[in-house]
Amino acid sequence: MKLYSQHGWGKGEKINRGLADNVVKGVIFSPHDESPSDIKSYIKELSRRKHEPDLLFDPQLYVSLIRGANEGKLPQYDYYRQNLGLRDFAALRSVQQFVRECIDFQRDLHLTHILSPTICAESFTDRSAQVALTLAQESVEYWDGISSDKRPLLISFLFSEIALTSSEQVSEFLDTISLLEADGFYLVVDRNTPGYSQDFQPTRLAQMMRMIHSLKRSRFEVVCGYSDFVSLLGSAVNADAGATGWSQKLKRFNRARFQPSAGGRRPRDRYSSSKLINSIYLTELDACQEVQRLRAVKSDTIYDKRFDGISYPSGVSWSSEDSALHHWASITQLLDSVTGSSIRDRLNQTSQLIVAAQTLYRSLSKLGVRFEPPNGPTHLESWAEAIATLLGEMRT
Amino acid sequence: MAIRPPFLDPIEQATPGLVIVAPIRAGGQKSVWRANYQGQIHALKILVSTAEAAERAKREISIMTACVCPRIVRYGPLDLQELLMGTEKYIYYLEEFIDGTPLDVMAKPISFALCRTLGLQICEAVDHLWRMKKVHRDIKPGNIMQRAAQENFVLLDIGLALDLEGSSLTATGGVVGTTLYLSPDQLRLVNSRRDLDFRSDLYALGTVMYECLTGVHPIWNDKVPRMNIIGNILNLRPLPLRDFRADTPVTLEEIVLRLLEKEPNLRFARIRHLVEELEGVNLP
Repeated sequence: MKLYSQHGWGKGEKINRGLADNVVKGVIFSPHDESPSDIKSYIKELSRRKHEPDLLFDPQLYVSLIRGANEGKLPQYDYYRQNLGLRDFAALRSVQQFVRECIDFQRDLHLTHILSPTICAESFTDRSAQVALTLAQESVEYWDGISSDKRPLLISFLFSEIALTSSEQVSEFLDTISLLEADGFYLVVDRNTPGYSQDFQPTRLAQMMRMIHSLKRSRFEVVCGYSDFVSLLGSAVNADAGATGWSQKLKRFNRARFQPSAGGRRPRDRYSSSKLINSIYLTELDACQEVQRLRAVKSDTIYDKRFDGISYPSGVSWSSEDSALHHWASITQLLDSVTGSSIRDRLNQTSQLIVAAQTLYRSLSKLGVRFEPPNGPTHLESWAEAIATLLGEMRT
Repeated sequence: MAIRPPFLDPIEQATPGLVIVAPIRAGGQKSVWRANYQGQIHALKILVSTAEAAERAKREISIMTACVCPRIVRYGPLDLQELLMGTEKYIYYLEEFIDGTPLDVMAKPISFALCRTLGLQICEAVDHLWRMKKVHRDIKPGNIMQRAAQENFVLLDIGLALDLEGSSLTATGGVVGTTLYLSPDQLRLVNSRRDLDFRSDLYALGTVMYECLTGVHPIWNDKVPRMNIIGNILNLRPLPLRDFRADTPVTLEEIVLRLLEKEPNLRFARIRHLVEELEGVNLP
């Protein structure tokens, strides 16, 4: 499974370095955060790279339906319409126009995939889901008519995590979307709670995994946006790519990402541990060092050398760029460790990683190392439960 | 010698050039006869005319006329005819006569190779129907014929087909088909806003293939609880085929079990994927 960089504001050299160091294999661009001319020239520049990264562009039409959203640079894009409501999708002709304009904009860019426009669905059965399905169907038909362009079309779906509560509704949704004549899907879950943590309610996570598993069995390409560490569970069910960015808003999708920001203090420095399958504060890494367990917690990526022989990890120079690259490298390392050819093998390998992380957390706890709740092990229990649920469903 | 039903002579008299030769399948409301019409052998279908039977016959004729597929029975050279005999009205029409054996009377289990051929050829029929946005809804051994001395199967009886682009006979409001071969979707989608699709026919094909390979029905056999057939269709996971036929190739078993998944999204999303997998099965 590949990891993509979820592009956003303040990219600096992060993407260039991530691609050069091979810790990400592609980019999902956010027009919210870059002007049309800048994004075009940057995509062109990246497309010329030797290793030909996967380049995707999320049209972010859904932002227009978020009340009071900070639309960033989106209004500078010709295809984008401000202040859309569901009523604006009532006429099929309007839907077709949105689709045509969003896809035509991407056709002119040096992208490797084309993403359909979508809106955020609150559930799989309400009006917003119907609009999302109509956008999907019209995108398939429009792209099918452009026979000269062979790039894969991925159908975007952005849905509230609450939609994943009903197994029956997930099944019905899958029955419908698996008939779409698309090459694959770009799936994003709108997380209920803002803030950064790896927690995911287990039954919902199991449904998300089931969705990926079903689509992969039907030979669709599946890219999971804003999936961060949860990409590991996507990898367990054979997803093709996950994505994460450098800021908390780019690691976990929440509509708050598009709300006007009141500013705030700079987030505390973090360290991503592939062994703990979590991101912790550098000060917590200090605590691990104090009990002689730094080596057990370290990811051993190419960016970890600077911690060698250091008394206090929080004392090293650790820029946001270093942190982002290290984060990508740690997740990529996890994804690369799931190598099984069958789903059962992959789920078992993932379970073993989770058990190892839980054991490590327990041993650190016994030594007196304390973590702030989001940086602790609670998510691992939820993940293990989600895997058990999925395995149970596969057996019955 | 069997008694010749009284409606045959009037039908022959009303249809110049038609000679009814022998019964193929007899039934109360519907019978099928081998008949010679203008020097060619055909299958003659005769039905007691009710509003539903007439509608079904028209549907079948319209679909057969539109289909150009060697795996789907062809329409014959006689338009739908009506004949009033006393108070009873009969309707009749001609279909291609298939000289062969219906799958329901063939000895089972059949060879792996023949079952693969069956799967591939019925896939072709299902694909052809789906390209016209139609779902057969009644695929079962009794509706599949193997041509004599050929590895060549033909799908019959399209009268129950669901037409997603037209008005459909009992499209909503009732379950249509033969109970043992109903897909879970046919049961679940009754009165639903959602439509059936070709994956319902793939489920029925899976049932037929399972039966042909093992000699037993996947959800109604001696090794499973037999309290409630509908419950079994909706919930009972079939036993592995190798429980009944130990040398079944694993890949063939996987394909058949996948066809029998309860959820359409877990079957094959494209018929061509199923064809590729069937073609890729290594047979002993």
